[in-house]
Amino acid sequence: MDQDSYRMLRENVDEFCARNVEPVSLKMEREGMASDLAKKSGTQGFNAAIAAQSNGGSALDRESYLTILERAARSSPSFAMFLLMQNSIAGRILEAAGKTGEIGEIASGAKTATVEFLSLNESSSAEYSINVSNGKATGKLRNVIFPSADLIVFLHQDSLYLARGSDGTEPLPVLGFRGLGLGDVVFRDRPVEKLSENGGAKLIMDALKNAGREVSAVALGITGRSVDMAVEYSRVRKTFGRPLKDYEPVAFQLAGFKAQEEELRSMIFFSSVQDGYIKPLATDLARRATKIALQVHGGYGYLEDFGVEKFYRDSMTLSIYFGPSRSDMRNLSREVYGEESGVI
Amino acid sequence: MDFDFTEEQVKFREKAREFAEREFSSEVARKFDREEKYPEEIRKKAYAEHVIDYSDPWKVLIAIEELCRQDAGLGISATVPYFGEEVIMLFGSDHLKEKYLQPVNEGKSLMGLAVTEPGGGSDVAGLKTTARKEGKNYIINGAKMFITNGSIADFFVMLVRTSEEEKRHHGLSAFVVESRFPGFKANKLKGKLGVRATDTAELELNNVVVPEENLIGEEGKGFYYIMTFFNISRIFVAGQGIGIAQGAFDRALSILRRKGKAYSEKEEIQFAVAEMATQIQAARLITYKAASYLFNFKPDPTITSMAKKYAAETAVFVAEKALEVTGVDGISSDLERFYRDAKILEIWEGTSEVEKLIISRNILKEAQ
Repeated sequence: MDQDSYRMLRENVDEFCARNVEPVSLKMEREGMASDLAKKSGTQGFNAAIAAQSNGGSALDRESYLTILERAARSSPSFAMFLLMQNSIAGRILEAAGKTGEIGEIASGAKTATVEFLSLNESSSAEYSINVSNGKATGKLRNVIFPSADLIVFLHQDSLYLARGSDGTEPLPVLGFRGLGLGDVVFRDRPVEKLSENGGAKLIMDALKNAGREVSAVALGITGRSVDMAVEYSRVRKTFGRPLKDYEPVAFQLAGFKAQEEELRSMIFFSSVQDGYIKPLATDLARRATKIALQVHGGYGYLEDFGVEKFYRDSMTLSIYFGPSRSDMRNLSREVYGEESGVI
Repeated sequence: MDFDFTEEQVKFREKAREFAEREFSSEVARKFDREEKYPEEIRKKAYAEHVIDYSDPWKVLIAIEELCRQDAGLGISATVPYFGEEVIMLFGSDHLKEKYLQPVNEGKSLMGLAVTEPGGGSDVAGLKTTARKEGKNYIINGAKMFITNGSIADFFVMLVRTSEEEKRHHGLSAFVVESRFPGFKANKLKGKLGVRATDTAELELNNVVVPEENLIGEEGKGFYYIMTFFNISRIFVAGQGIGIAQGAFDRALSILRRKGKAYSEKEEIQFAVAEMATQIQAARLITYKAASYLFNFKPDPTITSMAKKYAAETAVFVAEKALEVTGVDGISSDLERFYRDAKILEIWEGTSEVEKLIISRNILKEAQ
C-alpha cells in the first residue's frame, strides 16, 4: 500500500474507534467486551486482518495490521488485545491447522477465539489439570485470557485442541485488559477437536514470537494516547496560577516521551530492526509513560472515569502476558553473544 | 542511636499483624475491593481490639504499617477514622476537643479532612471555597474533592477562604463542619484505581451555616494549621508506603518459594529481591527517623517530606518489581491489588513533586 492508503486506513480505524469503542470503553473495562463490538469490528475486516481472503480474512500487509493495533490501543487496549488474540495468536494457529470455517466465523465476529498460552510462560506455575480422552476434555484450564471466548484453543500433552465453548469460567483478579478478563475455564466432558498431534507448544510459542512487533504496536498505542492525554490535561490544568505545561518537569518529561514514542514508531513501522529488540523497548516505554501520564493527572488520574488509569494497568499487564520474559531476554542475549548466555 | 523498638511496641506489632492476618483475608480484601465498600465492621473491631492506640504515636505508625502490609484498602480504612484529628488537638478550643474529638477517640464517630478542591490539589493556598461571617455564624459555599471518609464522616476539619483581601494563604481559616448541617452534600466517588475499600467523596457546600465556635484557632491561620498537620500526616502516609511495599514483597517471596529454587535462584530474580529488600529497609529507616523527630517534638519538615516521597516511591517500585519477578503467578494473585493501591501514595498528602519542592526549597534556604 502507498502512504495515502495507510493514512486512510489510520483514519478509518480512528473513526471506527471514535464511534464504536470510545463510547463503550469504560463499560468494557467494568463489564467485559460486548459481543456486538466483535461483529462491528468484523464488518471492518479487523478480526481476521491478516488471514487469507480465501478463508474470509482481509489479507492485509503487516504495516496495515500494525496500524490497526496501534490505533485500537489508543482507544482501548482491551480492544487491541482482542484483535491481537484473534489475528496473531488464535487466527494464526487455527489457520495453520486448516480451520478455515472458524477463521470465517472469527472474521465476521460471529465467533470469538482465545488460546491458553500463559501456562507456557516460565513465570506460571499453575497446575495443569486437564484430561482429554475419547475426544472429550474434563478439568480446568488455568489463567486463560478472554475465558468467555467461543473458541478455546489449548494445549494438552503437546497436542493442540479446540473446544467450542466451556462449562463455566472462574474469574481471577485481573489487573489489565479487563475487557477480555482473565480466568480459569472449566470443562466437563466437553467435546474437543485435536488440531495438532505433537508440537503444539512450539506452534503457540512461534505465534507469540512472531507477534513481537504487534505487541510493540499495542504498547505504542498505549504510550501515545496516555501521553497525549497528559499533554492535553497539562494545558488546561492550572496550579499556582499557571498551567501545568509551564512547569519544566511536566513539559520536559512529556516532550521526552513524545520523542521516544516517535522513535519507537519508526522502529516498528519503518525499520528492519528485529522484533526481539523492539519489544523490550516498547513495553518498557509504555510502563514508564503511563506512570507519568497518570501522575500528571493527579487525583483525577486515579479515577476510571478519566480513562488514563487503564493504560497504567494495561501496560504492566502487557509486559507480563507478552514479555519480554526471561526466555525472550535469553534469546536476545544469544543474538548478541552468538552463543548461550544469561543462564545463571 | 537505637534502632530497636521497646518490648511493648514489638508486642503491639505482633498484635496488629495478627489482627490484620485474621481479619483481612484474601477473600475479604478482594470483596471490599470489588464492591468499593467501606469496612465499617472492621473499623469497629480494630477499635474494640485496641489496634489503634493513640497513647503512643509509634503504635499508630506500627498499626498503619502492619495493616497496610496485609491490605491497603482495609488497612487505611481502619486507621483513618481520626484523619485530621491533630488539627483540632493542636489548635482547637477545649469546646471543640470535647464535643468532636471525644466521640472519635471513643470510636463512636468518624472524621475527615477537607482541603483539596476540584480545581486545585497541590496549590492549597489557591482554594476557592468561602466562609462569610454573618452574625455569630459563618456561611460556607464551595466544593471539596477527593475527600477521604467524605460520605461517611460525621464531621470534617475544613479549610476555607475567609478573606479575599489578605495574601492568598493568609486569607484561609479552618472550621469544623458537620455532615448533618443543612446544605452539606457528599457524592461518593467510585471507580478508583486502588484503595477501593476506602471512602472518597466530592463535597458540595451550599450556604452551610457553621457556628463561629467551630472556627479552629484564629481566623486567617488555617493554612499554617493544615501545613503543620501535613508535616505530621505525611509520616503516617510513609507508614502506608512501607506497609504496601512490605506486603508486596512478602507475597513475592511466597510465590518465589512456591516456584522453587530453579526459578528463584536465577541471578536476575536474586538481584530484584535484593533491590526490593534494600529499598524497603531504606524507606523504613528514613520514615522512622522523621517519626522520631516528630514524636520527640522537634519535627524536621525536610526529612518528613523525604520520608513520604521515598516510601511512596518504594511502594510503587516494590509492587512493580514484585509483579515482574512473579509474572503470571503474581498478576493473577493479590499482588495486582498492591500494584493498584501503591500508586495513590505518590499523589495524596502532597504529590511526589510537591515533596521535592519542599525538600529542595528547605535545603537551598539552609545553604544561603
